[in-house]
Amino acid sequence: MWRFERVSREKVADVGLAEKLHAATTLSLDKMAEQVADMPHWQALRERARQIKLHTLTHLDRYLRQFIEAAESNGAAVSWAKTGEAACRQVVEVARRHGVTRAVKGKSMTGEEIELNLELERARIEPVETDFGEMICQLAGELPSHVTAPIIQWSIEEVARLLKEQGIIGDIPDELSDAGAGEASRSGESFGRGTSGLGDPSRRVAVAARLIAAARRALRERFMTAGMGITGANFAVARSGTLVLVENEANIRLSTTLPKVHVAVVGIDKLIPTLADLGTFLSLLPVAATGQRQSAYVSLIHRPFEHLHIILLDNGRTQLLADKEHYDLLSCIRCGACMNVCPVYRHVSGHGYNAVYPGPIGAVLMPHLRSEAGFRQLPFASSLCGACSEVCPVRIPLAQRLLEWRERIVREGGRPWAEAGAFRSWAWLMRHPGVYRSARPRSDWIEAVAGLIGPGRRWRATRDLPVCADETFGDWWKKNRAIRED
Amino acid sequence: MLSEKIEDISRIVRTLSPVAYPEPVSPPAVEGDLVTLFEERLGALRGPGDDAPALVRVADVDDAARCVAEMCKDVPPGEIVWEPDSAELSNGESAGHAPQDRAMGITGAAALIAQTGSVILDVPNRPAGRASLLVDRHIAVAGLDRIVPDLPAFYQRLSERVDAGERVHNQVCVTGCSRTADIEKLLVVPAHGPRQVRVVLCNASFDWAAFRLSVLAYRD
Repeated sequence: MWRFERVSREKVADVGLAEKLHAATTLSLDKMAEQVADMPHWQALRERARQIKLHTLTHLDRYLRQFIEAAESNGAAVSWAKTGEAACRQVVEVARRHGVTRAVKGKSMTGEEIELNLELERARIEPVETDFGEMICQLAGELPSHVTAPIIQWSIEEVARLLKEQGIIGDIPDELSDAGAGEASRSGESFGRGTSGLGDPSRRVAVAARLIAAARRALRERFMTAGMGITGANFAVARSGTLVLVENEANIRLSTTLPKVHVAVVGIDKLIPTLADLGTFLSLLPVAATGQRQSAYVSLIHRPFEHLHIILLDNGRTQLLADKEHYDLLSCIRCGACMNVCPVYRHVSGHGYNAVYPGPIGAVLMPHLRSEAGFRQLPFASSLCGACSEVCPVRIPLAQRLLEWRERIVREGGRPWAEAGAFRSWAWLMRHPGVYRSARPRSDWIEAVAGLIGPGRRWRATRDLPVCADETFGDWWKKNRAIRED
Repeated sequence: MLSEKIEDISRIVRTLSPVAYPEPVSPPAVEGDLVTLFEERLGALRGPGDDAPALVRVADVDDAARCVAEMCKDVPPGEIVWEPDSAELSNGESAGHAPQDRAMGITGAAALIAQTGSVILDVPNRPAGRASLLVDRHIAVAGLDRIVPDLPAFYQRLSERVDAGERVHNQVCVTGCSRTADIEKLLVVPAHGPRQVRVVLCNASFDWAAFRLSVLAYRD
């Protein structure tokens, strides 16, 4: 079975990875802090956003009805997908109906969640990821490592090498090949420093611009020849039946306006009541996601340009809605801020979680969305420092939810036998004061024994025991307080 | 099928304690002159190395036309994409240019947002988006009356229009140039869209048809 413990050990040992993640996430957090400093109403906005989402979720039947009715009367086709497989099947059906052999995709986490690309390929429809980061992920055959920064742990050298292998650039730019970047290992390279003759940030930007320009040219031809555009949605407005798509690159605009057919796979958690609510959410999302006051493009699609098919994706969401304690996880707007602040994410990257939604939100969401046992390890992949709860723009109490998951898993018997045994013995001992007093081990014995065997030894390998006092509390009490009370 | 699913959700929702829709939160009032703020915010969105003024203020439609004609004086006619007018739109796709990259796109603007430096564009059909998308440089021209303090105010008003039964167009809110920071968080301009966004702001009321004719006249 996949073990977080094992994978995280590998990732933590990779110092280069931590450096890259640290640099990228710190930059995002600094930019976010800069914007928040300019927003005295930030806390009030977060709370309001949470309330709007909880209101929508606790009236989801009503808002779904509204959305479907409005979207259909605007001319869109709307369907329901209970599972990811069903959603994929529906996308393929729409493609077949329109004779589509190539589909351009805007960046979409639901698309990743349902593994749409695999299904399209199986149906001989070519999926083309058009967000630059997602394009790299697709070419490399890997999952995005962050919800808003898919290739957060890739260096520019690695991107250049991949684009050359794929024939998208002719040669590795001179600045990169000078330092023999071809030999450097993926994870061993340092981030933003002078190892590849690219120490000067402006030279790095110039090289990045050349790579992006080449990728843009390669993708432009795909845009022009694609029969279908596939996107997700950041918000779905119930009253007006509007899809709202937020981006910086313009690839989503291209995906929704160039091909004749647009298919949007939209989680049912994306609903908000009215267009006026965008005032709240669009004040929060770009700030939390990328530290921007506003993203470059916010598209409002009220009605089809030509053919619009909206697939409402359940895939475990209604089951989560029925969870009275945890349904607020459905209010997540996928900004990625909790990943940026998480000390665990910042060492293991998104790939350390082996999940489409990584980081704190992924750790609490994945065990709800997927039944595989591996995902039940994720709530333990946290230091419970609480930074995620503080940063979340819709105020999901993530640390609290992580803790609750641990309780649930323990209650279901998911606790290691040694730990369970130790606590059972301790509980028995505490209920028998006579035995406890006579059997009470001296502190130096504990220190000597704890590190010798089994789980204790593993525990001690990475931790120091606190130094024990010479005198036990019981003895101290007897000498001091007990006498005075007499 | 759909109504069955929603029945399921109704049953679930009934077990949750309903949360009330919250009171509004007022953003801090946008202070000072809206045009000055818009100019500052739009200017801050320019890409690296783009130093020319992002906002040009003109007196009237004729001035605006002269200004835009000057901005595209070196651009061959075939390289200019105009936002289609209503007659062209009713012809649908046939009026649209073949979708390929051009040097310059010229559009109006449904609104200008002071606090974010955003330009709101109506996109009533597929070809209509091209003038702000498949171009290297995009110029938006609008009258002073289009300035709105911030996005919450704009979306509030839009929501009210929809509630009143108005059929609003698809829309895009453009805030600066097309950009990406996917590689090592290095800011690269452009990504898939325009490298540059300019706004020509007209002090007097603005008329699109007259403006377009004047630009063409000045170019001749």
